[in-house]
Amino acid sequence: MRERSAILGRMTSFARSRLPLALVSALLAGGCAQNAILELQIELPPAPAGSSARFAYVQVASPNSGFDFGVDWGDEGFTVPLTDSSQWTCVSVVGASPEVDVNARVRFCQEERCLDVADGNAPESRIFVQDPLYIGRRTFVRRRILRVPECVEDADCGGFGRCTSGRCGCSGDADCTAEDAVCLAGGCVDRVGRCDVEGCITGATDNFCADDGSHFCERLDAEPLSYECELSE
Amino acid sequence: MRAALAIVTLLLLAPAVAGAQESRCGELSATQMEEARALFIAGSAAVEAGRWADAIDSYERAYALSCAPSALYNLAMAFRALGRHRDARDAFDRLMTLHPDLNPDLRTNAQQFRREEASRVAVLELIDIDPDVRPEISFDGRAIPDEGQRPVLVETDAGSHSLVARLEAHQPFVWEGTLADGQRETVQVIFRPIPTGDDTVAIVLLAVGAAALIGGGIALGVVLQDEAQLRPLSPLTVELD
Repeated sequence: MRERSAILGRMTSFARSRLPLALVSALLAGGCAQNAILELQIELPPAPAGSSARFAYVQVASPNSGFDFGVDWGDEGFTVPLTDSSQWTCVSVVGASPEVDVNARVRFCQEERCLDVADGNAPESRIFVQDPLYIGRRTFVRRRILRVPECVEDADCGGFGRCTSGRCGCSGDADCTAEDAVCLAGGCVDRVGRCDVEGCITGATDNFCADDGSHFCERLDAEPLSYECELSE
Repeated sequence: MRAALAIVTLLLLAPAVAGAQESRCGELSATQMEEARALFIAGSAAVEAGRWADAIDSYERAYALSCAPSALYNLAMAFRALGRHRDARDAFDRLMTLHPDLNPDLRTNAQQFRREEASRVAVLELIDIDPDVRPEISFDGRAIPDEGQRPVLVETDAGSHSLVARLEAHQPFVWEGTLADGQRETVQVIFRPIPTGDDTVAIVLLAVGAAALIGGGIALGVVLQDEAQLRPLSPLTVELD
């Protein structure tokens, strides 16, 4: 009887401590998220008066796959008609590898897919996001493009380059005076560092990295963040 | 968006006025005022750049220094823009309570936004907890004080959440789910005593039950694998190679 009690005691102990763990492990083995998503939210500017730019053509890709600024990205993209006021557009970037960066380019064109001859030199805004993907986590980046990058004078470029032949461009980082902007392949790029990628913590924070430099999304106890694609009107 | 960006800039740190008599701020030194002003400007710049978390930190510190209602108003607006409805509502409440002499236009806006934010706060209503017991309740890892009021109400924002309630000599009660903006979800909290005894039947049942649970868990895990993947929130989706 004592032996049987001991067995039951061990079984009960197992049921209390190991069984839930085993069950959870089994579930996790088959049911864990293996993808990562960056919710990229971009505010598009209003259609400028007197400009031929009528559409924003948004393309998102990874420089790790060769999609660098200054090279042809093909015709995978989204078209958003410009309106009289600014508007938000949201793109979910899904990846399965945590060690990639993300490039986004927004071309402002006459034709909706930038296929018009005149769109060959369409003004373009660029965004670079460093290390935004964490497996099983959802992260967020919000950026604003305040104006279509065409210009009459340097001031029209708003810190994203100098005015050359009606387009904002750059020949070095000194031409890109906006915060976090760098010059790449003749254009200023709005650079989002990994610690500015939002996610995995609630509460006020200066940035999204811990004191040891790790991103909060790398932590096991990361918290989910709520998300609204369009900020409230 | 326009409303979310409608931060206050013109009232740039008008120092704690008569309306802020209940606040902790006294007269500011020139250095303190300059620091608060710099924080306020940094907050506004962060808003312009869409860096809401930075804006929140700057406005919080600006308000802590100056007690200027404009800083608290902007803090509430930043919470609102981030979808932190509970924090936004509480900040608007603080604004109207601590600053009774608030500019009428600002007060009107604050009252409207406060109503909107309050309607978006999600609530988990925990029912059937004995008023005479005090379970240890944890919501998203945060301890929820139980002062005996029934039902226990847990306010939060939209999203996925988990709750664990523990009572001595009982199995933990666990709830996991997703709440939408303004949703009120009722959860019946049931505490089951931890079983005791030394019956052979119990041994067999326990062993069979354990095997069934593990097998079922594996099968369920396989079925759920696809379901467990994160889903894009936007219809515009890019799959990286």
